[in-house]
This record gives sequence, C-alpha cells and structure tokens, in this order.
Amino acid sequence: MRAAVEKRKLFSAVLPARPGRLRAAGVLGLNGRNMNVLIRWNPKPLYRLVDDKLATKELCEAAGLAVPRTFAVVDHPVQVRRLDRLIGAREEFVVKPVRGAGGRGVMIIAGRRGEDYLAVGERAISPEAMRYHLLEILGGSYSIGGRADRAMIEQRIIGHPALAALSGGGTADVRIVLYRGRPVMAMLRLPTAASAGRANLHQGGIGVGLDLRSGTGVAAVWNGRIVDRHVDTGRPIGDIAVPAWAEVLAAARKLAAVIGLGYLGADIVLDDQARPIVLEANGRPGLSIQLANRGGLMKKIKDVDAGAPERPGIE
Amino acid sequence: MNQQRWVILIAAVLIAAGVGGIALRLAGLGWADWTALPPETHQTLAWLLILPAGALLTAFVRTIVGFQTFGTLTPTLLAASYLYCDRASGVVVFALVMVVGLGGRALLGRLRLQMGPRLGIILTVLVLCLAGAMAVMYRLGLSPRPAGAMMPLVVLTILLERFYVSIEENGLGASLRLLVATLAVAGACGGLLAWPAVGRLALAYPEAQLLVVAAMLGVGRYSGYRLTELWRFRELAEGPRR
Repeated sequence: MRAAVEKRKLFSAVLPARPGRLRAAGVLGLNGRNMNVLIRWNPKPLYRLVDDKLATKELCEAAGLAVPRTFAVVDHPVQVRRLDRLIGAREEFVVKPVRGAGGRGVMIIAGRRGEDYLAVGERAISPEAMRYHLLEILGGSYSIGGRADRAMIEQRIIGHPALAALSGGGTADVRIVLYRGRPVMAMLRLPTAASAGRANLHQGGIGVGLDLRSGTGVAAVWNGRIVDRHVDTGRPIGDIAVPAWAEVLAAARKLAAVIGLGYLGADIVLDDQARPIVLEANGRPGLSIQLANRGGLMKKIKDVDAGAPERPGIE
Repeated sequence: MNQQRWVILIAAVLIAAGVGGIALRLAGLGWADWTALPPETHQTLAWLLILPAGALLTAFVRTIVGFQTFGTLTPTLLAASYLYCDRASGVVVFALVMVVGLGGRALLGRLRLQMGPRLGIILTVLVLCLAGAMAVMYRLGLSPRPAGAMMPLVVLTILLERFYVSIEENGLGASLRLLVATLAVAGACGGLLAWPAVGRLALAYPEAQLLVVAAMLGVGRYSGYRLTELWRFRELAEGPRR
C-alpha cells in the first residue's frame, strides 16, 4: 500500500500529468485520434472531398450551403501573367491554395493602392509579389504533401460586426468538431495582433471554447495555454457570444452529412448579415480545441457511441 | 478489433521465433549467420542490418515520446549518410551546408524561382564550396577523404530546404525545435550504427530483426498518449492538482 503511494509520488514528480488522469478527463491524444477514430470513421477516399477545397465547395453548393464565391481558378502558370483577367478591378478578395493545409498560403486582400494590393494589416503586395505567390501555390509550396496545386481567388467574407470587434483586422471563424454527424465541441478562432489576420491557432490565433447549447465562451487557449481573457483586448472570455448560433450548428451538421466523414472539423464564418458561410471542412481536426473547452473529446465521443441523447436546446 | 488480434498474433510469432533463434544460437546450435561472409563485407553489412533499428528508434520518438522530426526516415538516412565521414569533416560539412545553404537560400528566395531549380542551385553552390575546400586542403598538404562528403551533401540539402520552408511557415522557434529533434534522433541512430557491439550482434543474430519488426508492430498500434501530450494537456488532468 505504502509502496503504491510512493510509486505514485515518484510518477507525479517526473510526469506533468499521469496518463490515468488524462484518460479520466476523456482527453483524446493524437495517437488515439489516428488509431481509434480516424481509421474507423474516416475512409481514405473521402479525404479527397475535404483536401480539395473546390470539391468541398461544389458539394456545399449542391446542398444549399453558402460558400464564398469563386472568382477565378488558376491551374496553369501562364494565367498568372494576366492578373487583370484573374482579379480585374476587385478591391477585396482572398487567394488560397486549393489543396492547402492549416491556413498556409492564404492571402487576404482588403484593398488596393495604386498598382499594389493591400493585405490585411496594410501590408502592400506588388503585382510582381502577387504573381510569385500564385506561382508558389501552383508549385505546391503550400499543398498537402507538396504536390502541384491550383490557386483560387474567391470572395472575401465581411465578418459579422460582433465578431469583427473581437478580432483585430482579420476574420474570426467557428470550428465545430462533429463525430458521426453530431457536434461534439466548438471553438471560436480569433485572429490576434500576433497572427496577422489569420485565425489558425498555431499561427498565434486565440481559440475560444464555446458552450454547444448557447454558443457562448467557456474558456480559451492561446499559444498552447489556457487563458481566460482576450490577449489583445483584455475582455473576459465569458462575455463572448456567437450570434445566430443555431444556424451555425445547423450548417455544420449539414456539412458533415454532405461530406460523410465520421470525424470532421467544420470551419464556418458568419457574414455581416449573420449568415453562416462554410469556409472549409477538415478531415483531421486538431486537438487544442480540448484546451479551449477545458474538457476532453474522448468523453464526448463515448457519449455519442453510447447513444446518449443530445442535450435539449441544440435542434 | 480484428486487426488488433492479428497484430498481437504476428508479434507473438515474431518474438517467439526471434527469442527462440537467439536462444538456440546461445546454446551452441547456431546455423548460418552473416559472420560467415568474408570479413571485408562485415562493416557494410552491419550498417545495413542496423538501419531498421534506427527506423524503429525514430518511430518510437515520434509516436511514443512525441517529438516531431523532419520526415520519418530522414534521421536514419542522415545518420547513414555520415558513415563514410570522419567526425571532424562531418561537423565541417554540416556547418558549411547550414551557413552557406541558409545564406544562399535566403538570397535565392528573392529571385523567386520554382523549387526544383532552386534546390539545384543550392546543391551546386554547396558542391563547389566543398570541392574548393578540398582543393585548398590538398594544397596545404592535408589529404581529405572526398568519399566522406558525398552522401551527406544531398540529404543535407533537402533537410536545409525543409528547414527553410518551415521557418517561413511555422516560425523560427518551432523550426529549430524540429531541427534539433531531427539531429538528436540522427545522432542516436549514428551512435547505434557506430557501436561495434551492436554491429556484431546484428551480424551474429539474424533473428534480432524479427524482434525489431515485432517492436515496430507494437509502436505502430500504440494509441495511448504521447509523452509530450502529458505536458500539452496537463491542465485538463482530472483529480487534485499538485
């Protein structure tokens, strides 16, 4: 008995957290996600539908889900010479790799100044730099596995004012993780001064865990640590509420149903009319959302597997 | 879980065969092993035979410890490419590639070339530097071993490009962590490869490979927490906090 206590003490002196305690909290690890969840619920052929953002868009449009309008698709370097044909006189647009991952290679243009394009944060992009960026995308610099890619130029979504106020310059988006079609965790991703307009967590964005019933903030993660205030504004996380929450959840459910992946991250923005717009779907959503929600995903997954009824108020 | 049973069964058979074979050899009932081949082949053979253990080590670090490296087999390849290099010229080649390569890569970045030619130019510059250095050393009366520089150069050029791209995408801090982890695992693999006792074991006990494969099956089916995740998710741990 005493030996067991001693052993336990020795363990906790060496390890930051004992595995048993994480398991008790229902924390999902990367190996667990890959071996127990992805292999079982996400068949390889379906990844094509989420890895190719144009394919995702097509499916969404067919199902009546709103997506950003596509202005142009660049699939050959020759097209890059004629920026006027691709972009024309547009003031605002977004350049994205079709098969990009983790927000890499995304360029958000918010205005023009003379010949130059103005990226979020007043950074001037010369036409020359824009052409090079497009060529880099085509060459596969940002694509999954480094293979040759296409670039797409699409509508820049003007975010909802309530969320824009929280995110300096960039657009906030909502990430909802769905398991077997049911939302199990949600997080609002806010760009910060450090993340240059992008909301991806590993680029310095803040992730605010959301109560699934109400869409209000419960906790937040920033640079891998739990925080309870917005790092730029100092506003308490509990004050944050996502408008039109029921519509956002409904869009996420529809997206999961259309794609067919059993474990899926739905990335959704709210436009200035509070309409949910699907940005993309992710077939291998990350695990930091657990920190933002101060809770484990495995627990939720087990609830769904056990056929636990959904808490009222979601539908 | 059907695969789970298969994996356990196969691993059990491999372990039984491996341990049994080694036990028989220890009991003096050995049959052919690789030491029967001519002695001049032993070193190369030993290196070849240790490579799987290097891959196992890398897999262990990635999925159980949780440190990511540039590429799954890169650390093993890097270690292997250094085999014909003595320690001093190995360090020199590495430092040269890093300094000249990163500098050259930064300058080339401004020219906005596509990736293939860009890598080619970096490799050319590195080759010229190395060949130049050798010429100088010969003039000074030193005799470097040119064969030693051959292999690391190619692997290092690719590692350099990945490192550079990673700096742009993940930031310097995260990229340095990746690089250090890659080098540390490569160093450990190198230690294995250069360890004469391990080489003798690999030559004398072919069954050891079965044990390596069994261990890989274990690592490959591991679905528990990574060591680094105990740190990453420590704030979520249930129960009284210390």
